[in-house]
Amino acid sequence: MSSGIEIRNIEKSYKRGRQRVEVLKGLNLAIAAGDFLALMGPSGSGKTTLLNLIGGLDRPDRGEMWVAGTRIDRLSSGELAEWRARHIGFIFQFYNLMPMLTAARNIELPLLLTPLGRDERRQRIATVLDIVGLGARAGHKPSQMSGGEQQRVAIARALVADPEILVCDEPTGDLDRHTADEILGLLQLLNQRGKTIVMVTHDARAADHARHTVHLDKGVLASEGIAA
Amino acid sequence: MKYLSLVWAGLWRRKTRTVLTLLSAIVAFFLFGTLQGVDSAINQLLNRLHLDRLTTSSSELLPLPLAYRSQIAAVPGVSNVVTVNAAVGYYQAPANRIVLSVTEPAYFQLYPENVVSEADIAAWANTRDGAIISLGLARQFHLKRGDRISLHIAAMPRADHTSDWPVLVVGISTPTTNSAAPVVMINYDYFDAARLSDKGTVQFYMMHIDDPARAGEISAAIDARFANSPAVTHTQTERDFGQGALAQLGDIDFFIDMIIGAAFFTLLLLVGNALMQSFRERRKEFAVLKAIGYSDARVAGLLIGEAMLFCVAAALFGLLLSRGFLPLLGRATGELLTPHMSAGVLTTGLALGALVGLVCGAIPAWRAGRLVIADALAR
Repeated sequence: MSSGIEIRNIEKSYKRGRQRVEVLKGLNLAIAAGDFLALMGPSGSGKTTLLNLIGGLDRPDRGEMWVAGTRIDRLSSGELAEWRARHIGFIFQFYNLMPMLTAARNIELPLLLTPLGRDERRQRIATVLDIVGLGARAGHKPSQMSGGEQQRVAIARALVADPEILVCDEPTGDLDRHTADEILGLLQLLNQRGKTIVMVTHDARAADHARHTVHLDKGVLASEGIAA
Repeated sequence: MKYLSLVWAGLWRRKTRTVLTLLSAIVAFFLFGTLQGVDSAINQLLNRLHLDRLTTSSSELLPLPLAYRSQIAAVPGVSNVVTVNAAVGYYQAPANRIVLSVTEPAYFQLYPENVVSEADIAAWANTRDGAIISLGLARQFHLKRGDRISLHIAAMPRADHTSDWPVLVVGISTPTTNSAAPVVMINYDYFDAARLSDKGTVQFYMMHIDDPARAGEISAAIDARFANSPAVTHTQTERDFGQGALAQLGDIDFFIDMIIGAAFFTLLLLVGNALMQSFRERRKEFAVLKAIGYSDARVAGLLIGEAMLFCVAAALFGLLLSRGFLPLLGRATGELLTPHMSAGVLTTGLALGALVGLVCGAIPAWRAGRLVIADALAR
């Protein structure tokens, strides 16, 4: 199954009070399987809306969304949830970990939806904790970890069910430069191992870690570039 | 089961709030268990009362003349008529409550559940100021035959203007039910000769009837005999008499239902509010769960699970506490009531806990199910 993304003539608008605000206006975009794409643009340009559509968190008003071989704009809410569990890993700016759960328990959340047994789940958690370099912090709660460590746990949670696509919304927006570089390096490593990554960022240095960069402005593609 | 740790963690996200709400819920279920136990003890007490025994009293709470006795005994189907006066008093100190029953030896034929030896009955019949005391009282104060005791009965003043009745213990009764109840029985002749007023009268006549199915007919025949007398009578079965006595306190079932209803209404508001608050604080967490693939129904189910686990746990603790408390309550009534928690009440309480959880969790669960991920994450 292809883990590429194809967006055809997408339109999306929101109601704000009595006004309807058009966010995406007939957008077309193709992202190849295995790509690492940075989505950039000013606030209100539609980056996060596009990312939410790609991740199946929202539906377009019009157009076709093909992601990981599935036309997702036609899926029901339940089908979309199931599809997200199998194909998408999410990484958020503010980590969004469950504060009352340990790192291992947070990472386990997507696995609870799979038929894997307890031992298999433990094994997978240990593996991804090693990948993100937090093997010794499995029993710690988010409040006991730094921002960078929490984002690594979030990455481990996104990876643990082995999705083809990682959807990242400003993954380094809340981190210092050094930690941000570490997280971006980790994303690059995952991309090299075959993950397709779509990342929204305001930070040009973060975008430099991607293979391609796309600029959005007022709901349309402004430019496309390839990282040096 | 694999979601249990997630449900458990959600429950303890705000420890102080959870503990306080849990305590409130435990109190509600404790009340439920205790009041149900008392209600069933009252019903048990009433069920022990016989349908083949009638009680005749004044319909206007007047004393009844002794002369009624022979007329009652003459009604077909009636046998073994005995006189009874009763009042509550105390022995030594007001805290040591006793029930004084003024009656006669034939009483023990009518009430074989009060087991007294032939020798004790004979001694009582031959001792004017003799008393038969219940086993419970004898044990409580280490009393034995030959002991002379004084009973203070304010409702039964003596001709010498005191209310102290000196009696000699001549026998001990072993009731087959409520063996710990503190009861003292004294002779009518001794009582009537020494009392201040209403001499030659009694409070109740109690009797046996041959056929309980004819209780209504016989009661009507007795009351008809005194319809034009100064003291009009009201005759009823022992069970009806007991229910009537309780009814004077009020509709106990209604009171119990009202208290339990109020407790559970408050509980619904309290737990419902705590869960709504918890839902509002965790909107983003539910949105994250949905983002990583949890369906609307699964997220709603987690919240319902939290609410049900919380309420069933509260029910279990509350009911267990009540179970431990009920025997103490029985002791406080001198074992007149023997409240206990039946398996039925325990099961009903736990089912009620699950139901309260379901109702309280329904709205937050519904809202969690409808949560729009992108909106919740953007906040």
